Amino acid sequence: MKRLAVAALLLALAACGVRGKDQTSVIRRRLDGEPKTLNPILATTDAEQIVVALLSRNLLDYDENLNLVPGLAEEVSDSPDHLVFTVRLRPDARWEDGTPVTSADVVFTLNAVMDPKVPALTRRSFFEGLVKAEAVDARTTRVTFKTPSAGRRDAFNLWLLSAAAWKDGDLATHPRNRNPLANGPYRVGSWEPGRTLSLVRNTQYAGPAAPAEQVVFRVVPETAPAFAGLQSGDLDEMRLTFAQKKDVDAKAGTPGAPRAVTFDELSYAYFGWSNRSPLFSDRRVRRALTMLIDRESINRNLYGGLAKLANGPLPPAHWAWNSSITPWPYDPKAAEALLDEAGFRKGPDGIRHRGNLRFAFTFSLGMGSDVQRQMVELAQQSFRKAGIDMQIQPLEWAAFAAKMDAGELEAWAAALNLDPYPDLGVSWHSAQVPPTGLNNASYRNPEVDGLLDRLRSTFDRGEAIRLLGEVQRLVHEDEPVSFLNTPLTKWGVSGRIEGVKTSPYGLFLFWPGASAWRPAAGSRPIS
Amino acid sequence: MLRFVLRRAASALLTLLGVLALVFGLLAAAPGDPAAMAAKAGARASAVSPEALAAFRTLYGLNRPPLERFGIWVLRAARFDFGISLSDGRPVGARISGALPATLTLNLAALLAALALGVPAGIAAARRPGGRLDRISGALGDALFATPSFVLGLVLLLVFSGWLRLTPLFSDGGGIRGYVLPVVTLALPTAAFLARFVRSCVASALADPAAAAGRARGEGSGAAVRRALRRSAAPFAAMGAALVPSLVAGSVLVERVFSVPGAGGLLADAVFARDLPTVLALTLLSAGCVVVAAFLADVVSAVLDPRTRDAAAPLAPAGEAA
Amino acid sequence: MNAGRPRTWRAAALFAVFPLLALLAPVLAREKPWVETKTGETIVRAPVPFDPDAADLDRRLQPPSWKHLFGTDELGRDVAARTLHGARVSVAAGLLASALALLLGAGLGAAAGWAGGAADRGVLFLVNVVQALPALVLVVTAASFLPPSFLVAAVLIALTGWTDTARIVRAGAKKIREAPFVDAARAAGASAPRLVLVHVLPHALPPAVALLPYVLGAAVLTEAALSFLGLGAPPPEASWGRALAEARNLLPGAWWCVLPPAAALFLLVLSARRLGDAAASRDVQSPSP
Repeated sequence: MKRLAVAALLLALAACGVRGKDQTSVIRRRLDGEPKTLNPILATTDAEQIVVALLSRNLLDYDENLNLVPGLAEEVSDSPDHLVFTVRLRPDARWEDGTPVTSADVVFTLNAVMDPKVPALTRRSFFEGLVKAEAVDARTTRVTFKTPSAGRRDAFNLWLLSAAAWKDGDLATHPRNRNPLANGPYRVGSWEPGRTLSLVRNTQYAGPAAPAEQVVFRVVPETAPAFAGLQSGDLDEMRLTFAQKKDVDAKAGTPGAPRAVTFDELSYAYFGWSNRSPLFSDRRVRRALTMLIDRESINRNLYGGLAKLANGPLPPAHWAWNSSITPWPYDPKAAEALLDEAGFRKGPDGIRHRGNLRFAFTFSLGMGSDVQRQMVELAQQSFRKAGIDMQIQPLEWAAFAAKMDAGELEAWAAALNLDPYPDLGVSWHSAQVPPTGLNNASYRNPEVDGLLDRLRSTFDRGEAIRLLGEVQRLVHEDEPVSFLNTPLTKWGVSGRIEGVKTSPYGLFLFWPGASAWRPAAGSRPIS
Repeated sequence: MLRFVLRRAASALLTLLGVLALVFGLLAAAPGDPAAMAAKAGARASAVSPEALAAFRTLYGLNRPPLERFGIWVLRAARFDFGISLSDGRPVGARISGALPATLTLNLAALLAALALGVPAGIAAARRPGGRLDRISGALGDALFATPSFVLGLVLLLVFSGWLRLTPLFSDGGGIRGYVLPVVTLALPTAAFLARFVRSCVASALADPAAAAGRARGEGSGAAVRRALRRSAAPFAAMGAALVPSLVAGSVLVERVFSVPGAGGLLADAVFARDLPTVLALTLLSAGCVVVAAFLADVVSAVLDPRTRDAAAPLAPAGEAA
Repeated sequence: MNAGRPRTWRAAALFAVFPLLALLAPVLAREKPWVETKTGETIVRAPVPFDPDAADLDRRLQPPSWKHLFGTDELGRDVAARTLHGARVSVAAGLLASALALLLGAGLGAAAGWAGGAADRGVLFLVNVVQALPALVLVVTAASFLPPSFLVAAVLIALTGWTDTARIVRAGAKKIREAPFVDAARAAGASAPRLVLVHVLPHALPPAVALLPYVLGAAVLTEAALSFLGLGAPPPEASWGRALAEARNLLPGAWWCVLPPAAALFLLVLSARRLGDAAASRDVQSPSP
């Protein structure tokens, strides 16, 4: 009976035949989660932002080197005191319904960002201190701030809401959030929640027409099925793991096979130590912990050589990265000497003690990546050899985040993604120690505080680079957390896609990003 | 009779309220803040000011006392208004009705397939307990039961969709064919369990004096099996009651592997985002099914076999927690 | 039909292999030789001469060989050693969870079936509530309050798994309550606890026991699902569930990381069920579920 059922099943499967119609002008992309909103100012997750990036131009866009270039605005200029910004829109900027993008849209968007009834949690912080936004004429908007701030121009890397489309009703629950009015190269075609989101070329867009007629996003949460899709031609791009990249490289050269693209991003991985804890309050101890982790070997083996050592709070891809800082070396002997020096000596149980304080702690692990967990397991082993007892505690993500924000974690693993103009004060200024801010390590150094304060009002790029370089050096000396490494991002792209460019902001959030992707003429996806 | 029905209805209502209160209490007490989770979704190291978080909490009424929030939700739910999702601002009712068709289709098909495979296999095995067929189907069943669904699903997917290209990789990629693998993945372990269940029911009925008497009268084995099945009506009904609620619950693991946007994934997302309105509404749905199914099972077994009015003995399909 | 004692004993012996392996894992799989000279030279090595947690990135993801019988995992740890040690968590969690579920279910079920009335309604209410409670909510809440460990996992699994046992035992107790021999015992002056323990449970329990192999298997699977969600036994502790969850992204490449824990889990369920079958067929009278 069972045999019969299996045979019938196989027959049914075989009868289904091979599908596939010619779709040369379609790009099929992967989302690892369902976008919850396509509202330009509420979009926060990767999935949401990479979709909106095709639908909307920013007032100012980043180019591939993270310079701000004209987008919807042809110019954003500021007054000599950096308090008043004037935004001039391009004359040909249009919404998908043909109406022009006007200063009324800019004012509406800025008011919405600042409206407490709008959950624009991440955008609002960029505009803190905004006094008012007023229309001067149809194309010109004047934006006034209370205090000057060095990174303020970057705040105008901002997608706009159409005042007409979003005007009635509650912005958080507005029906337009799922069918936004576009002003970029694409507009929303159809959306089948949880499955596919299809964008079509926006004929009203004034810039160069997008090469592909259609972009179909598909929600594929698990990486193994997505990878099978990349290989079969069902998907044209996805983020790769190191093992998958190796697989792609091995098959490179076969016609139609996907290729791997690698690039540096503004991110780094670290192990956090609570500087408030008596175990980690001494910087010699923190340095020793870093020196006990064989990061070269991790980069070589877990990342296949596609990672750089981190040397401080800015990653190598950043414009202000201080390349003169040598990362702490892997040196267990020197590390043990440092621990001895700090008073932690090995006891009869093989664990280090300082007085009554036993060097034992709990290391919290959020639901991060496989590689992160493996790094933690490796560190646990080398710590153990050096007389440090570290227990790993996996935590569910929301609980992990809540405890981290409250500064309750003793030690933890995390990866940090930075904005193109990151405010290092958020993570390292003593005024930002939890529960107030995001200085989760509770790091305090008055010298660093002073530099960070000066940076807020330093508008000269050269001077900012000098000050940031000094901040990086001081933070590196103190090693408030163990800066581990900056893995290269690995992306698999179908062989038929041309025009793929990368930036430290990823593949999609700069201009022109994925809107320049061309499915090569004449080629067809295999499948 | 009326008293019986009223009492059942009252106890059903009490059960629903109990479950909802428990879910609300557990999640409200657990660490994790919906506002922070909404902000963290971006995962970039930009500051989210405490003022912005406070505004979010006010917006969704999260700063009110928990008891008040629960009361408001329950009163609204009684009028079929399940509130607004904290994670995407859509009405919860719309979110659930979006996820339910996929889950229902998948689970219903899987249940039918499991019955079609498991019941005949169980009967066949019961005819000769300890025989070769019994041993083989038993071992096969154990293998299926013991394989985690995400491993089984992934292996099936990689073989049939990735390698043989017989089925689409993603569930929507080809009508009915897209559902074949997820249905098989869900059905096989249930079929394995059902087969063992049917086998033990039928085997014990066949070993009964009544069956021996039948044989003495010269009845064929077909008639004996039919009698055995009839005698097992009550446990079957109870088994059904245990299986029905899984129709709406969904399985987050299988859904993830096959990229199916179902109720299981919705619940997991909502729990991790501390999106209480969505979690409560989904709980209400599945709890409602449990209550209704239990009631129906009682009625069915009472009708079929008045002696066993109280002997509802469902062997639930033991499975994974999530 | 009644194969009798030898079959039961054989099944029991097969099943006992698992707790035995779990107990002996630290001896069977370890880097330290069994017998060595004073200078540290190996005379007799352990059958699996690797520590389960000993990572070595230079030998990661090696396919099975004479040196590493089941190959190595992503951190270069010996899969055979980890599977053996994994039995400690998986078998212990499984056995503990099923025992707790049986205890809880039998206790509450018997009490409800015997006492009837308000106690019965109370237990039924509890059973319904637990069955309707989404397991994920319970798991996530527990994981955010308590550090994950095999003990927590076992208790969680038991807390959600006792309801079936309770229903079965309750139904059995209800029937037996009216049986003539119980009346006789009652007339002879037996106390209520004694009646339940001596007369009711032995008759109401067998069908619930037949369910145990599945509770056991489900417990180990639940541990796998918890690991899939990142909430299983804390690293670096080896467990079958964690191994399966972590190795899933290595398919189809490193199949040797998936196969051993999957096979171990299968054999555990198989042997448990055979024991259950053998025990059930010994006692034909037992009303199998």
